[in-house]
Formats: sequence, C-alpha cells, structure tokens
Amino acid sequence: MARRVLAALCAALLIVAVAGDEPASDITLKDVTVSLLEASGTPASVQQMAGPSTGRLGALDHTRTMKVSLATALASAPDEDFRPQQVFLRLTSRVSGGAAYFAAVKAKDGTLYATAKSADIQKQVGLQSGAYDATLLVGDTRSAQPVQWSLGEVQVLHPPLDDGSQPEGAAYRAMDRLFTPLPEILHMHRKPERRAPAIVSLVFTLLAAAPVVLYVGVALQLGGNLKGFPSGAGFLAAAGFHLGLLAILALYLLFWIQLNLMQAGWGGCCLPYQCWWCWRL
Amino acid sequence: QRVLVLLNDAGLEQSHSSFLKGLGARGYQVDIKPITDKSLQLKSWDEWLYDKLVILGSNKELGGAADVAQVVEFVDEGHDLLLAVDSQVSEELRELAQELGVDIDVKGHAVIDHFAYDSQLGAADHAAVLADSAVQSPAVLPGGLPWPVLFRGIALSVPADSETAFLALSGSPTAYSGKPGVAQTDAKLAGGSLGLVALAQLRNNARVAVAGSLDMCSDAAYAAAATSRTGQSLGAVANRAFCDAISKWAFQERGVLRASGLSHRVVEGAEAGAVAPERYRVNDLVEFSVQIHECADGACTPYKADDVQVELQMLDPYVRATLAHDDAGRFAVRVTVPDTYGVFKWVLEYRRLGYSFIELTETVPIRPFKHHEYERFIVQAYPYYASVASMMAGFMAVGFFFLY
Repeated sequence: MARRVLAALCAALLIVAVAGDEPASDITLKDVTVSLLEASGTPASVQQMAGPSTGRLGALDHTRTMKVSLATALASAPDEDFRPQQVFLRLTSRVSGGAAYFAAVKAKDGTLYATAKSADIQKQVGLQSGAYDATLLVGDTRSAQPVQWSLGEVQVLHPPLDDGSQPEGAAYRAMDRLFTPLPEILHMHRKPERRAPAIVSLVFTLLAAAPVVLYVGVALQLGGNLKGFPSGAGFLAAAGFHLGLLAILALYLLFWIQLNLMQAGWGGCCLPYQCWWCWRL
Repeated sequence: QRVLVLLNDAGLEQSHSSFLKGLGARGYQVDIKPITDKSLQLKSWDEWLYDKLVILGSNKELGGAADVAQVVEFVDEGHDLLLAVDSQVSEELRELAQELGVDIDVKGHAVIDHFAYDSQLGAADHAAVLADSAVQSPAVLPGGLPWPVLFRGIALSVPADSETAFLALSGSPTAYSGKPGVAQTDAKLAGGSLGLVALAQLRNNARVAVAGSLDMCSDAAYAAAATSRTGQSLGAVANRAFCDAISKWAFQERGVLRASGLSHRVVEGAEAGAVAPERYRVNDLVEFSVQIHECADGACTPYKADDVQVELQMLDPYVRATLAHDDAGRFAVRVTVPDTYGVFKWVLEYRRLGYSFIELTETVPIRPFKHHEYERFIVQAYPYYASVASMMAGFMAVGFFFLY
C-alpha cells in the first residue's frame, strides 16, 4: 500500500516537473548601477537600480560616459556563471524616435557593463540632443522570460556650437531630408527707379515753353506783323514754302508719335524737295 | 514579360509554389532554373533574354554566364531584381546586394529577438521573429500591415546617406543581428536600423528588392499562425500580403508615376497666348503644366499630390513654385518670369519614397525688352518734349518775323 502511494507520489511529482511552468528559467539582475563618469573617470552620479524606474539619470554631455553595470544569473542555475546572449543598453530619443544600442562586455570581476558616449549616439541616430529614454534589454535563448528594464531619462548633449547652443537635429537619413518639398522661391523683381514728382516736370515744361511765348509776345508788342507776306504772284510760292516747312515739322511729330521710319521716310524725302522748289520760286 | 527565377536548390520550387504560381498568375512568363546552371545566360549578344530576375539564393554561386557584373548590368539597363537570401548567403550574393546599395550582414548571422519571437517556430533559438515595423508608404504597402510578418533569416542594412535604398521591413526595438547562441559583444545592427527587407528605387527607375529570408515567402510561412513569446495567438501572419506587395512594387506594378504632356504658354506679356514660344520676355506671366498619372495594378489613374514643384533655373533656381492639380491629373502653376535674361530651363524633379522618380526639363531662353517695349511719354520727360516743340515753333516764328 505504502509502495503504491509512494509510486503515485513519484508519478505525480514527475508529471508536475515535466508538464508544469518553468519559472526557474527567469533571468535575475543584481547590482544594476547606472553611473555618469567624467572624462577623467570620476563618477558624476551613481544610481543603484532595484527595478525599472522612470526617474532622471542626469546629463550625458560630450565629455561624459554613461556606464551601466550589472550582474546576471539564471534562476534555474543561480550559482553558475551566466552570460546572457543579449545585454543591451538602448537609448531612444524622445524627439526623433531613433534608438542607439550599446552591447555589454564582461569586466574582470565577472560583472557586465555597457558604456555609451554622445559621439557613439551621434553615429547611430544623428545629431539629436535632448531627452533619451534609457532601457536595459537582457535576453537569452535559455530563458523564456527576457528582461526589459526602463532605467530612466538621460539628457544627451552633443558638442555645442560656437555660441554654446546645441546643434540642430536634422533628419538622420538622407532620404528624409531630400524627399521633401523645398522652400518656394519668389523672384524679387528689380524695383523701378525713383522718379521726380509730376509737378516738377510740369513746372519745367512751362519754363521750357516760356521763351518762345515771350519772344512772340515781345515781337508782337514791338509791332511785328505779317504785312510783308507776299501777295499776288508770290503768294503761292511763299505759302507753299512755309506750309512745306510746317509739314516737315508735323511729320517729325507724327513720326515721333506713331509712324516708323518706313512710312515717314517717303514724306521725309519728298517734302524738302518741295520746299526747295518753292524757295526757288 | 519574362521573369527568370534562379533557385538555390530544387526543393524551393515546391516550398515556394504559391509565390511562383502567383507570379505566373500576374501574367509573367516564368522561367525557373537552378542558380548553378552552367547554361545560364541573361543576355544573348546585345539582347536581354529576360525582363525581370528573381534570385532565391543561399550558399551556391551564380553559374553559367551570369555573374555579379552581368546582373548589375541587367539592373543598370532598367530591369528589376528581387533577391532573397538566408543566413548561409554566399559572398557573391552579398557583393551583388552591396553593388545595388544594400548591405547584407556577415554569413552565419541571424536576426534574433528574445522579446518578439514566434514561440511555435522559434522557441529554440529565438530566431524566427515577428516583425511589424513596415515602411509607411501607400505606394509600397497600401493599407499597411494588418498582422506581423514571420521572418527567419539574415539582417540587412542601408547606409544613412543612401538616396535610393530604404527599409521596407525593419526589426522591432528589441531585435538584433548576431550569431545564434553566442553572447553579443557589439550591437552593430539592432532595432529600427536593422533591416529585414530593403527596397531600392535606383536613379534609372529600376527597382531592386532584397529580402533577408527565403522562408518568408514560402508556403509554410503563408500558412503559419503568429504566436507570441508567451504562447498567445496573435492571429494570422501577413507574409502572403507582404510578399505580394513587395514583389508587385519590385516589378513596377505599383507606385509608378508617369509624367506627360509638359507644356508652357505665355498668359500675359509679349506674344500673349503663345503656346511653347521660342523664348519668353522678361516679366511675362507664363503658365507651366504637366500631366502626372500613377500606374498601379495595371490601371493608370490621375495622381493627386500637393507637393509637386517646378523650378525655373539658370545654374541656380530663380523661381520655385508648387503646382496645383485639378483632380484629373493636370498640374499647373503661373509664374512671373524673372527680370534676368539668359537661357533658363524648367526643371521638374519629383522624388518621393516608394514612387518612381520624375525628372523633366525644358529649355526656354528669356530675352530682355526690345527697344520699343519700354515705357513711352513719361511724365517726367515733358520738359524735353516742350523744349523740342518750342524750338520748332520758335523757328517758324522767327522765320515769319524775319521775313515779313
């Protein structure tokens, strides 16, 4: 009876062992430390993480290095030296969404550590400064439960420009920059030259017309008249001559206003001849 | 259109029968040959024997007369290529992909994701990943991906400064590429920059698709169900739809833009109303128009977009204007000609992700004003007119008074 119970118990244990869940394959993290080291190696800030957190970790500028160190163990074999296949520190930009990855290497004392510098972040995601979310990713084929811990927020600062400000974070991929519409260009036409106001021109027009008016006025006052105009036989010749001269001047005006050389040319050839003939008379 | 399919081994013809039959059903004349075939040739003298090429390759080298140089020449002449490889990719195929702008990872590496693997097919090595970060482009994947894509293979990458290649499917934020079963000491390819399928629209408008997995387009993958790491069912996998979309894009069945009917005319100015005049005059108002159609799945419909721009340039662009479209595919804009004269050209360059490139130019000289096109009878010149008129009047008056 006892043997049968024992056998049943063994069978039950076997069944449970084979068919049950395996929480024993979990990865456990110990001594997770996030530190920001100055260029000389002295730590600017050290934080121990007991679990995922969303606090601020500090500023990672171009002189500092961010170091995350941890020790890992597999729950089913806690004493064995366990090096997971994937131990990554991931820094995801909150602005552009790009992520930079840093793999952990083994230190001499058996712990694993991953280091990140702003220059390496720039190589992977471009010149985007600002808030980055730091995450620790630990995974292995021997474990069905990978670990993803949010470590907090890091302010990444790239080498500043001459005036101290951060360089602009342009799109990292050339395609994102090139395959967008370019700014519109409106040609600025030459502005017309500034001209004097119309009143100035009118005044000077009157001034220019003044001498001839004055001359005619004075001449009439002094007794100028047309009494000497030939009459009788010479009338036609004289009238023709003067009319010819007037016509030439009128042709000048017409040419200036409307006609081109072709149309005005004929008149220009004939009229002077006509005037000369009249003069001879 | 003739398609040559090169298979790494004969078993691929059965395991990928759905994909290959699908090509035939779309109207292609499919020729299936082993990749190492000694009589393989892509061209006979100067004539290409095939229009498109599909390579389902792995560790075997290209046989016969085909080699990397000939395949690159094939693509250079405007033909399309679809290349699928797996983790055992040969150096020759890696070199071929690199020539076309896509870098395939080192042989032996695989895409691994301990967080998003398919627990039915990838429980042992976590290398069968479920990917759902696909490119957002209506030309490549109209409607997006409804389910994740099952992928087992090698990683690809595309340089950040590439102007032709982009990733159609990339890894999830927890994926990485490395040797399975080995602890990673560097994270060169991981996350969003890890490519699973890369597409390239080359400058001559030939298209290349490189997929890092042979299994992705196999019948088994089409029929698989997506199971998450914890055993939860995520529904079906989108492999069939994805492979369909990728092969359609690669073979110019989607996202092809055709520009035609480029015309320009003078609206206001010298020779108003002249269509395609020999030259423009400075300060004319001209209208530029072009017809753009998008061809997809055999039908060409009017293209609708608000970001097509045209430039009027002489060395540098003097004017850049955005074309407005009526919904019938006619894009037009009115531009005032700059007041610099010289030999200009209209340049329409339209490059958008997933669409074929449009590059059109039209040379048009611009002349300055002719001597009779300037303003006449300027108010400020009246004194000069008055002086001439008074000169003439004075001549007549003096003549009269002198003579008579």
